[in-house]
Parts: sequence; structure tokens; C-alpha cells
Amino acid sequence: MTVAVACDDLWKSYRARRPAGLRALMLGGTPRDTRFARQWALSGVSLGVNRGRALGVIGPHGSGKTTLLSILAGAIQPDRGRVAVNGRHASLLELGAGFHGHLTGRENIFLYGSTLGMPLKEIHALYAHIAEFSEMEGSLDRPLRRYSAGMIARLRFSVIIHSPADILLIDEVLTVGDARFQRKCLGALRQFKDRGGTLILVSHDMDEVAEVCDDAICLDFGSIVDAGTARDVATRYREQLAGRGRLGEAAAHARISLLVPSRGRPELLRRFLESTLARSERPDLVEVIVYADEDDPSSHGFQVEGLEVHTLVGPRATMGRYNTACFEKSRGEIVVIGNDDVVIQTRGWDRILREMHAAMQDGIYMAYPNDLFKGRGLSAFPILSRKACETLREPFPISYRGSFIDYHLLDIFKRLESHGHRRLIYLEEVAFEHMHYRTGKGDFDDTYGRRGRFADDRTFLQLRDERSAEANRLQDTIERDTPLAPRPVSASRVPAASLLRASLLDDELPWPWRLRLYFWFLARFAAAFIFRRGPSGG
Amino acid sequence: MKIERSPLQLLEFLFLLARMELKARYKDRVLGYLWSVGTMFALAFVFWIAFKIIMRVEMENYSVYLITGLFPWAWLQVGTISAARSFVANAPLVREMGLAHAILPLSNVVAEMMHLIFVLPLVIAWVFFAGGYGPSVSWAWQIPLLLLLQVAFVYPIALICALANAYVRDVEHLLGIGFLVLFFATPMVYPISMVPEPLAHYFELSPLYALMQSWHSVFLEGALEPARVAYAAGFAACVGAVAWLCYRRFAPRIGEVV
Repeated sequence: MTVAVACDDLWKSYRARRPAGLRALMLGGTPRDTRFARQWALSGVSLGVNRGRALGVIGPHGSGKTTLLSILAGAIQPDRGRVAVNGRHASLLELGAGFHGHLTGRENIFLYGSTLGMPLKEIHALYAHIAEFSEMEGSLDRPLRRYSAGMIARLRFSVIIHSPADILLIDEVLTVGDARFQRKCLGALRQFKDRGGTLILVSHDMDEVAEVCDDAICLDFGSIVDAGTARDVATRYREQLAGRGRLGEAAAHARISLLVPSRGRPELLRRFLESTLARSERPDLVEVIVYADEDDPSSHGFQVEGLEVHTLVGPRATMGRYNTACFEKSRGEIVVIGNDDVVIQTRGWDRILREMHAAMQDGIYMAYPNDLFKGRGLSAFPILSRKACETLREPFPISYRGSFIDYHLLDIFKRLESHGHRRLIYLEEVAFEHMHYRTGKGDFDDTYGRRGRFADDRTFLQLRDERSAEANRLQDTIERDTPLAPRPVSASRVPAASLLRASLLDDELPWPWRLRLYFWFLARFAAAFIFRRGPSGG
Repeated sequence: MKIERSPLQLLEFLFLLARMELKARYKDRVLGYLWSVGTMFALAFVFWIAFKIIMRVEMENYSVYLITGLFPWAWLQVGTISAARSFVANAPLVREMGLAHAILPLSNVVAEMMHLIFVLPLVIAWVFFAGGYGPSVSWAWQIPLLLLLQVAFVYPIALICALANAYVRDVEHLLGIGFLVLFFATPMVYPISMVPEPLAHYFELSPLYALMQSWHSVFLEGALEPARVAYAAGFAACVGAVAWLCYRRFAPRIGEVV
């Protein structure tokens, strides 16, 4: 048998990551990737896959699986080590992206096929099969920007499985989409293998690995910790997870609470609940706490079979009070501040959260999912442990009327970062698609109008000392040391002064975050001025 | 670890990418084409007012001079700036293609060339109505030659900018400023005879001037000065060599930085 893919002693670190611009050059680097305190994404990985075999790559979140696959695909270069790929390869590495929004599905099939090195004639010949496989013949003449993430993933898989590649490198993209189509993909992958194709599959789904792959490796902290037949490795990994559960029983079976204030859009709420149920691996360990206003009966009493949904009905209040009320009712170890205009796109999102939760031993972290729009840049849906919420005096300050709570929490964790504890975790593969950007705010969304778009700016600036104290509380919990007194900065009634004190001049914050806050607020003040609403209005 | 492609496949790929760029530019509408042409004619009109009426440029067929300079310049400028974004804008494509294919910025340059070709009938019509003379036979070889020359001229610059922009995102903004300066530093909306003596000498050294002047002389005189073409081609070759070195040096890591 010949070797199709081999690599020898791969090392990769992400220390010099993403030079984002002049700003980064001048200020000496952007904040580093904070996912777990690891230096090497890969350290000394060697493997070989024979032609016609399928290798599964498993391991906990952030263990280097995607890095390994990207290096094999040639998308990134290793710091050290050699890669040999003998044959035509094609890779599915990224979620939700890769096509072009203004082209139709049909044109994207041609462009993507050509990207993979298929001649036009061949794509023409295969087009009917590709369209049929994707089961989207009806919508292929629509521009891609109207597709959901799941549809795009389907289309890409359909092209790639028809490409003449004899080596496929597939990251967890199969987790997007419904279960039936996922089965179909697995069937197609098996056929591909039977035709003599070589497959490397990164997956979190042990059944999938055991079913499709011959062999498997398990990565942890960038090294291969287990290798063997797929079935054995998957079984051992499961046992190990269970073992980790014995160490921290609560962590491995941690309950997840989704806090979801909703108003006047039952269709979206239902969609959110259904996606939560459909994409959860353990829906029995997930609970949703919905807050609905008294005067909005359309949102009351939602039930989805198989999912624990509690609806709190109460008076109209601020967003901070909604979240606080939901939090008080919740029981989960992991608290997700969600929204009703979200669709969860990642299958097994709950397991990824639990693994991340289990890895963070002291429970002080703030994670946030990929909203498929702003990605790393925005933490619209913070994920905190119950412990972190309880450590904070007021995790969701009730004075926030609208949507500033994510910034409030992010700011606290940025302060913690300055104290030397990097606890912000971006979960790129967990997709919480924010429909807000797809559907627009719509007529149903009178909340935005009534709240006053700029109502929370001042609240945010005035709570600066509170955030400083909160960050100190988190630090104490991490270090179990004597509490530090917050360093108060005298509050000012002048917005410009309080802005400077809470951003540029605040030496408890990392520089990039100071600049971002400063300019962002300046822009908001300017906008508020233009719209004649004033930041204190409401 | 590149995906093997035959030259025909490369051309097909280039064609698909360029078509994508054009579609994005015209935003799926016939009106999109008219808008982008209309904008250029409006710009030409503004310059005509400014230079002909207000500053009293003494020149025969000034409007022809303007139009035949502005469109090739727009190709140069828009092509380079959009090519500068090409790696960043197509980041997933770059990552999944394995290597940052030099073909991405080329597709932007070619898309802009296609745009110029679409506009050529209008330009020729303008020459006919405003200048009063019809297309000359020699254009049949002069214009394609100039198109090729300009691709060779713009592409290496675009490639360097695209690489630079992948590493430092501010390049695309700096380019905007740079082109604004070059636009007025290249005698194109005004004749070189308006430039005072010691400066004019330096202005004439600009390879951009050689390129633009070639376009002008083709449309105004039906003649192409070999020295200018050779000068521009020589410059293109030098930048091409630099671009190739940059590409070899910086392209392998591009998947990580975009």
C-alpha cells in the first residue's frame, strides 16, 4: 500500500498571530489567542495514512485538530516538520464561509469546482449530480447571501464529494445541517473510501468516527496521546471523558442554561428552541429560561417536546432585569446569555461547551460563540459558569436597558486579562447564527425604538468602577488571595470626562480594548447627537 | 502542495473569478454598468469645466484627451485597489486553495480590463462625435497592444499591494491616498505643457506618464511612440521581478495572516 498523506514531527505555535494593521505594529501586537494557556498548537506530531484508508482525528476542544488539518491541507505552514501529500486533495476547513454571496448557488458550484481544480467541462457534466446530491435544485438560482449556513455547508460538501480529489480533508463542518443530511454525507464518504479515496476526518462525534474511519488518533495539547483502530480510540476517548467526569462529575455532565428574553416574535423564538433541541447532544442537560412580558401573550408558554423550557412572565423591564430574573430561575452550571433571534447551527454545541467548561478548572472564564457575522470581534452571547456569575456582584446590571451587557462583561474580562489572567475564550466552531443581521430588525422589533438606541452609553461609562471591582473579585477567586480594593476613579457628570476615564485613561484595560472603546463611544456620541436623541434619553 | 492545473484550467479559473468581480461591480444589474460609465463621464465633465472653462487649457480636442486618459486610469486605480483587497476578501478561498494563488489579484486586474473593453465603444463614439474623426485602422493593433502592456504594468503592482495588504491591512487605505497624488502628478487631465519647466522634466520620467501618454497618442494621433512603450514595458518588467520575489517570499504564510 502506498502512503497518501504523511507528516513528520510537525510543530506549530500561534504566538505571532494575525498582524492586523498599523495599529498592531505601533502598539506591539494584538491580544493573543487566549484559548487555554498553551504555547504550542502542535508539538511533534507524526502520522501516515495509506491510500484507501480513513483516519479520524479526535480530541478535546483546542487540542490542535484543526491546526493539524490546516497544515496537511497546506493552508498554513508548520514552524517545523515535513508534510507529504501524494495525490489530489480537497479540503473542507471552514464553517459557513468560502463561497461568494453575490453569486448564485449555481455559479458558486462552478467557481468552487474550479477552485478545486476541476475543468469546466467536468463540472458541466457533474452539475446535475451535484445539484441532486445537495437537494437544493429549487434554490440554486438564488444568490448565496439568501442561504442559511446549513445550506452553504451542504452545497460545499456536494461539490467536494464530486470533485476528482482522491484525498479529502474534512473538518467538523458536517456538524452544520440536519441529521438526515449528515447521514447521507457519511454514506457518501464511505463510498468515496470504497472507491480508493483517502480520508482524514476531524470530528467530535465518536459514533461518526467509529463508523467511517479505519484508524484514529486522539490529540491533546498538540500531541498524539492515543492511536489505533478507530473503534478502540473512540471507546477509550469516551471512557477518558467519563473518567474526567469522575474527577469532576459536575463538569462532564454540566447542565447548560440558556437565558432568553423575548418579545413579540414567537416565530423566531420557536425557531431558536427547535434549533437548540435539534443541535444538542444531550438535550436533557439543557434548559431554556424564557422571559416574556405580561402584555405579550404570543410569547407565553412555549413548549418544545424534549426540551426543558421555563417561561417567566413579568412586567416590562430592562434587559439587565430580564437577564437577572432568568438567571435566578436557572439551575445550570453553564449560563449562556442568549437571544430569541439566534439559530444554533453547530451540532453538539452543548458538548463543546461542557468540554471547555471542564477544562477551565476554577470555572472563571467568559466564552462566546461565533455569531457567523462579527465572529471573534463581538461577544454578543456571553457564556459564563454559574460560579463566575455568583462571584460577580451583579453579572447583569439592571440599569442596562438594552444590549450593553455583553460589553459590560467583556470589559470585566479584559480587565482581568490586564491582571494577567487570560480567560476570554472564543469558540469559533460553535455557531450561534444571529438572525438579526439576516432578517434586519423588522417591524416586530419595537423594543429597539422604545429603549432609545443610545440609552445605555452613559450607564456603561458610569459603571466603570463597578467593573473594576468585579474584575478584582474574579481575580481573588482565581488567586484565593486577599481581596484588592477597587481603585475608584471619581465619577463625572461630563460625558467626555467619564468616557476618557473609562477608556483611554483607564490603565486597568489592555490598550487595544481602550482604543476600541474610546473610538466606538465617540462614534456613538456623534450618532446620538445627529439623531437628536441624546445618550441619556430613553 | 499546489492543486495541479493545466493552462486551460487556469484560464477557466481566471475567467470565473473575473466574472465574479464584474458581477460584484455591476451588482447584478445592467444599470450597474451604466452607473459606472456614467460616473466616469460625469467626472470627465467636472474636469472639463475646471480645466477648460475655468483654467483655460489651450488644447485641441481637450474632451477627447480627458476621456481617453480617465478610463485607462480608472482601470489602473480601481484594479489595483480591488486587487489589494483580493487576498483578504477571499480569505477562505486563499486558505483552501493551499497557496495564495497569484491568480486572485490578476482576476481583479482582468475584470477591470474587461470593463474598459466594454467601455471602448463609448470612448470611440466620443472620439467620433467630439473629435470629429473615426476609428483608424491602426487602432486594431495599437489598442490590444496597450491593453496587454497595461495588464503587464498593473498586475505586478497589484500583486505587491495584495501581499502587503494581507500583512498590514492599512495598505488599501494608503493606496487611495497614493493614487490621488499620482492622479494629479501624472499629466492626464492637463497637458504636460502646463507644467513649469524644471518640474515637467521629472513628470516626464514617470512610467505612468509614458503609459497614459501612449493611450492619448493612440486616440489623438493614431500613433504609438515606441520609446514610451518600451519605457513602460521596461518598468513593468522591473516591478514584475520585484513582485515575483515578494510572492515567493511572502505567499506561503498568507493563509495564516488573512
